[in-house]
Amino acid sequence: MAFLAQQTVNGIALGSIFALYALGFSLVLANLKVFHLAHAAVFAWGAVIAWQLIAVWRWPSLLGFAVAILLAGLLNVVAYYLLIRHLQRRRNLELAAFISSLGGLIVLTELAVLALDNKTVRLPFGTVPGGNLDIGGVRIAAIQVITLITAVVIFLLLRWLMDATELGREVKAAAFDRETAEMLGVNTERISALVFFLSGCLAAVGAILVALAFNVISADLGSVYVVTAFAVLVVGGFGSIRGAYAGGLLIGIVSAYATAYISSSYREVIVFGLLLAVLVLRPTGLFTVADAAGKA
Amino acid sequence: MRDFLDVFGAYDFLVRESLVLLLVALSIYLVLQAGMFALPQVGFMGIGGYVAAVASERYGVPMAGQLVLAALAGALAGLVLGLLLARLDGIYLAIATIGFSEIVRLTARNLHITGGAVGLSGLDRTLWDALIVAIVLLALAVLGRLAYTRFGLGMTVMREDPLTAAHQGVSVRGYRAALFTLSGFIAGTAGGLHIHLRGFIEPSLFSFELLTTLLTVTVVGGMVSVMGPVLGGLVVFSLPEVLRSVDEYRNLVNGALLVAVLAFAPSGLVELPRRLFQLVARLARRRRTPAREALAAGPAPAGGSAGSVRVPSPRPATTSSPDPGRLPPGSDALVVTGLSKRFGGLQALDDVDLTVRRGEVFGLIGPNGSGKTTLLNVLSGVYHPDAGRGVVLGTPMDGEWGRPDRLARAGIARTFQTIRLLEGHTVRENVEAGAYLIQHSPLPAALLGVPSSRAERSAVRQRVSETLELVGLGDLAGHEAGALPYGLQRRVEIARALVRGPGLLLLDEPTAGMTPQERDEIFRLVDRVRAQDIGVIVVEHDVQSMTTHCDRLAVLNFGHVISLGDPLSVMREEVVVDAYIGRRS
Repeated sequence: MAFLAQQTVNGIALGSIFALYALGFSLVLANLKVFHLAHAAVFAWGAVIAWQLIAVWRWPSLLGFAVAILLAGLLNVVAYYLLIRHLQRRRNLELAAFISSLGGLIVLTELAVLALDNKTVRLPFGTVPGGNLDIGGVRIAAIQVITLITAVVIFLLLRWLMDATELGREVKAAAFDRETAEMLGVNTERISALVFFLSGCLAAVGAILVALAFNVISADLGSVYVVTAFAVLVVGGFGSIRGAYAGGLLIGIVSAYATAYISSSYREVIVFGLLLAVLVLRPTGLFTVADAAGKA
Repeated sequence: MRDFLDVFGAYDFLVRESLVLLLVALSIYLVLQAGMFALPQVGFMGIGGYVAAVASERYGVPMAGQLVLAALAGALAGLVLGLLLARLDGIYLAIATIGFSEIVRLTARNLHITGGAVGLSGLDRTLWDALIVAIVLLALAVLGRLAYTRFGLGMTVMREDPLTAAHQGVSVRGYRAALFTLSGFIAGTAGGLHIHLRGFIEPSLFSFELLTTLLTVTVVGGMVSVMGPVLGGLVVFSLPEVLRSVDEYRNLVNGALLVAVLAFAPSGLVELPRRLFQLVARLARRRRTPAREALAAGPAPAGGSAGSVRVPSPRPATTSSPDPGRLPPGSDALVVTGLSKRFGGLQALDDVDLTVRRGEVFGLIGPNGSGKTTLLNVLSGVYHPDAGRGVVLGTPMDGEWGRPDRLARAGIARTFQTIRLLEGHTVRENVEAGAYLIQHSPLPAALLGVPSSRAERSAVRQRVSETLELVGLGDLAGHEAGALPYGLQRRVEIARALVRGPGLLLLDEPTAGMTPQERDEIFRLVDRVRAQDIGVIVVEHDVQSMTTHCDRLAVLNFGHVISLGDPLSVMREEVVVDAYIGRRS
């Protein structure tokens, strides 16, 4: 029983990271109907920048994280202008943007390889407190607690931003129907830039958590999880915040159980099997009810 | 013959592998240029490779047998996947198919028979170069020729607009299954060849990274013809050698190339020379003859700009104008009974019974939202009705509901309320799309261009020309359809519907937004159509011209036929006046 509980905790922690990662894809997808693959590289860059600031330049870690998060957001805005913006009027936008963003992913990943001199690096030991919480035989690492709290805080922040602010209404209007929103006075250009900024920030948050939890930073930090992010989005449903969290947690827990009870080598087979099954049987995702943004 | 690619010296392996990978790129090209954003090809290649490797290692199957098995395994995987993912489109399809490739890779890594993560090695490496070259050339020839057959036509229309394609009789489901199968066949073959180049197979070969390389090949070259992937392959596969001195930047260059091509040369490098040539020619012309150009630009020549295209006046109708109120003779074109369709809480069609005869112009009127367009959409197969039966031109519709391609085969053709032309294609090409169903050459004959298939093509061209004449577009065949004024675009749609000689024509607001004069011209055209013994159902708001030009009218309100009969008496009925004007108190 304790073992099951332990795996559930591990799964939730892992799933929170998946959710944060997938959320970035999802926001952009809802806004522009674009699968922004280069997001994966922005994710890696979030961790690389944090490493540069904290490990190389010896900045205080919290300041380093904050600056890394902002810079990753800006990087994603640059990516939007260089990779996506000029393609919006193309008839085959989905394909063109996917491939253009894929090109961006390759370029950014290679630049990260150069920046890291093709090495795997680590954040300094002790950046986050070590130690474990022990509740009835279930060990919860400090980083797991931090991850969970971060995920919950971001979820609440995003929901507040989307549901309670003028900006959020504009984002939703632009996602629902760009042209109409434009006619109603929404500056959709600014909204897109903002959405890319937010999703870039989220990527960096996720990346820093990965860097802390797994103690590893490499150029392909994001790329290795791209297909997992696909699975999260498909299972949860495209373009919804709740869906990304639900999908992330489900995939996280399934991964943890599969690793614990079957075999770690089958973990991914099971995750992708789930992905295909959902796509075949319920293409709108398990957790969305006719989501307008997801259906388009 | 065996190793003639050795002439490439140190590059011999690179050349051989590039050729095999070109095959996979072609299998990607095949699917993408039909408008399906599906990327399962690396998975197909992996399946082909493993089947060949296992057949060779465990069962001692000879090379030829392995290749056949690899191709068939790829094709089977393609067929199954195509059927499973029939409902997916756009980015969902891309993600599902990439997920499929990952599953193939991960499964191979976990199975005992495939050698797990290490894979299988020590495979026969005596692959004849002639075989590789022959297979690649064959694939290029088949895919290149395909564009000039009716199947290529079907794929083009499908890419531009699947709904329009279905209404021309293209079975989108069938095409999808067939294209997935063919794509799997080609990629599977490539997988079978590939293991004999390397002498081993391992799961990590079939990664997302390979897909990105192959996608780069396809896109950088351009998806306008098979030469696109060839050129792309040339660039992408030779790049590492060219950049050998700066090896660490080579992926970087690949990625940047991808971004740049999409931004600046959307149709790929293969189109670049032509575009540059056009650009240079235009600049040169401008510099050399400014005076003459100014002169030409002055008085707009007939048919110059889109706005000033002379509307060719249709030839006078050959039949006398209809005698209002009299049912014209003729067999039934359409009989439907009890047709109902509900959208959520809205009963869009409620127990509709209709009979339309051949050679009859049947008008459908009613207030906004009364179900007119829904009725046409059910009849043409856009929607599946909840209940109802029907016979169209002798074919029972029961099994065909919701299948535009089958209903088109049964003899229904239609135009759309919002014009659905293939933009960027000429008027002639648009009308040729409608002629899909009157071409019957089987695939091999069409590919080989045998005399009978060539004769069929020229007959189709002839038929297209005649139809263009009929609708008064004979002079505009070469114009881009999307650039024509609205009224003429309507005529292109009508021509596209008429070209295959349907028995029942559905016109959804064919004169919306037209001047009274243009409207009369369209109705005169309808008269000429009716004279060919075609039943016509017209949906239109303009009650005046409908009462003048239709033989019978049906009035819909809240999905109900509230009145049906000859136009004058229908318009006098109280329920009709009520529906339009509201109840008098």
